[in-house]
Amino acid sequence: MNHKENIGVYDLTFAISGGVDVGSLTTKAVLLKDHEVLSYSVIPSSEKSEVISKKAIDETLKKADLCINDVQYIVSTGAGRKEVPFANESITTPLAVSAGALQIFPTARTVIDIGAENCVVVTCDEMGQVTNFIMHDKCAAGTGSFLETMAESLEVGLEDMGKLSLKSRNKINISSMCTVFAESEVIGYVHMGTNKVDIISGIHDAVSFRVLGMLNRIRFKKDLVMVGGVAKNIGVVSSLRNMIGLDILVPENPQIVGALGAAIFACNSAKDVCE
Amino acid sequence: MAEEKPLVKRLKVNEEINAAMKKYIAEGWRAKKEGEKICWTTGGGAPRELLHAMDIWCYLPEVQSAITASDQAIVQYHMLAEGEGYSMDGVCPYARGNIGEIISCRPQGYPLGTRGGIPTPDILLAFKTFCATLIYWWEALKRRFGVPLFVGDTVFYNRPMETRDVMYYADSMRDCVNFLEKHTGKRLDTERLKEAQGLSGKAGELINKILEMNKNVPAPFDELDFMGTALAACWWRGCRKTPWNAVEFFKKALAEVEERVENQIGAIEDERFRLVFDSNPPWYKFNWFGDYLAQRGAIYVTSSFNRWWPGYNGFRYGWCVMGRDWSFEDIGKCNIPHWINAGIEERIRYLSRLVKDYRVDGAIFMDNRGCRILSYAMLDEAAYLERELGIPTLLYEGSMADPRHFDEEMVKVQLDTFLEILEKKKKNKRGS
Repeated sequence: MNHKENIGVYDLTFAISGGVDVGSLTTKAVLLKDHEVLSYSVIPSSEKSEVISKKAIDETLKKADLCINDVQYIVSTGAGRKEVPFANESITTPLAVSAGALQIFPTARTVIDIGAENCVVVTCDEMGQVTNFIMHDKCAAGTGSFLETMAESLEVGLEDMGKLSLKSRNKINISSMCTVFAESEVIGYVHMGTNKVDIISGIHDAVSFRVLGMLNRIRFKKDLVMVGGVAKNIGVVSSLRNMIGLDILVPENPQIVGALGAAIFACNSAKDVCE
Repeated sequence: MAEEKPLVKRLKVNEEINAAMKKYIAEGWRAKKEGEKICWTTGGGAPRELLHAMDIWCYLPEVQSAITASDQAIVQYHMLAEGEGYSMDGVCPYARGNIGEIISCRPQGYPLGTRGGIPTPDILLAFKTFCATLIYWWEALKRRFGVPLFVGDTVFYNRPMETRDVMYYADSMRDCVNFLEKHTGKRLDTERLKEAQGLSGKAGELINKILEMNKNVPAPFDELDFMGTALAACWWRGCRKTPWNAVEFFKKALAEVEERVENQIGAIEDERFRLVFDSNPPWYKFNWFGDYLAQRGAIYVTSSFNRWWPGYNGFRYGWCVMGRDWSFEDIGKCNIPHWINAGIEERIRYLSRLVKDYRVDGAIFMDNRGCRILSYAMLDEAAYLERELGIPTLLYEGSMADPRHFDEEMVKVQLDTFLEILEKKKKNKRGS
């Protein structure tokens, strides 16, 4: 019997559900038992979705000392959500991140998700229902890939950018949001001898400014939560906080919130099926 | 998998459009060879009834660009126009498509398009709506072909039409008649104009009846599918010859739709979400859109588009039904309230009424990079529908005729998410 046949066999009060978020840079998996996280994993999306999603769930199962047949329902999300053969169903990123964020911060009404190649802002109501969403269009501007390219241009570690930017005392303005043009602009500043921390701070402001436009367009409400890999960058979070003048809540593991949301959906779907 | 579900049941009557268009182009060539004057005219605001009444063969470059885009052939023409300085970001894709077609066929002297050659113009007629590009476009055509151009004017409005608006348009019409008589050598026969107006009015009545049919559940036709017929409506409205007689065409269309309603046949299987669409459709994805939604139980049951060709009736809702007695004022009443000329409040009022009357579950807007005038009010429209009517909305980015502004994968994700929101909303409603 595979996990897809498990529905209805177990007492769902203690059911185990799984969520897999196949992103363009990393694949995340989360296992839940009665809405509590049993285990999670984050691995690079270095192979096709079918393979990498299996690796992610296997690693997560191993951490929880479980096998796939112990899981009652699995929901996939992210860019490769439709190529997860063992998933019972798939949902889109906005629904997954809002469910995940609400699980951690029940007062969340606006969720900002910045991943490697996408940026989504979602609003939800007090019932936890998604009321609206907005996605950035077409290019990697203002996403994790943008920051990665900038880090390479400046020869600093991606994970160091946040802390470095907080040291800036004389931030500069990066006017272009196109990754290619911004890179030229950054190199220009480097040649002019501008302090790297000021350039990084300017880059973070450029990302935040783009998100600010999306927030205004969607008419955001408090509390704001930021998730996705870029939420680990304290520089971007801090810049956005300053721009909107409000606090932004960031979970301990912002990268796995999409997978967590998918697992919550899985838990609810398993119950629906049984009822 | 969702992709295996049935697609939209398209209206059979639409199949007649292609054949009719081929014959219409052939008729244009006959007119050209026999020395009759050929007129290229704008889609919005221009009185087609007048041209049909004077037996002047007319060609609508805007519609041709839509056809070329739906044939997936327009980008090559865009690139030719862009090579001559018509900017991809700033110039209407219809204009770039048309000018590119002309450039591509310079040796032959006429634009080929995708449906055979088009006779070049002897006169140009542009009625200015809120769209300023039209005037620059027609001026560019004037320079290229070296033929006389008449520019008429319509009125921007955000209020019920006033007598002065109509009189202003009627004055333009009188000047237009003088211009046409001077350059074609034909005299306007008012009896013929009366007949053309009568036919136009009848076509309007039929279209109203067809559009109303989609208030039924399940909806008998996909509103996107019917958009193709808008071509017949806007081009041949007032024309008396078969197969371009819009009255005959819409009678057939109505019969087909009525039969579906009678037999409870929906345009899609398992209709779950009824949607309204605002903007020009992305013509290059015309069928794709309807089918993608159909496979997910969603259908466009109504739209602003099918109501805003010159038949759009502003505050009065539905297509304008032209009076049977001819007058320039009456033609004005039908041509002034073009959607493009409408202000934000008027658009909101109109969409709200569509949402209520057609029992709409969600609204989809295309932020049209090809036409900013169509798009400028969308954020306000969407906000109103969400706030006042509790209707979820989706705004995706695209262009009516330039596929380079359309990201299919991104739009798919947005549509999927939107439908998931509608699904959850429906579930909660059932649960409460």
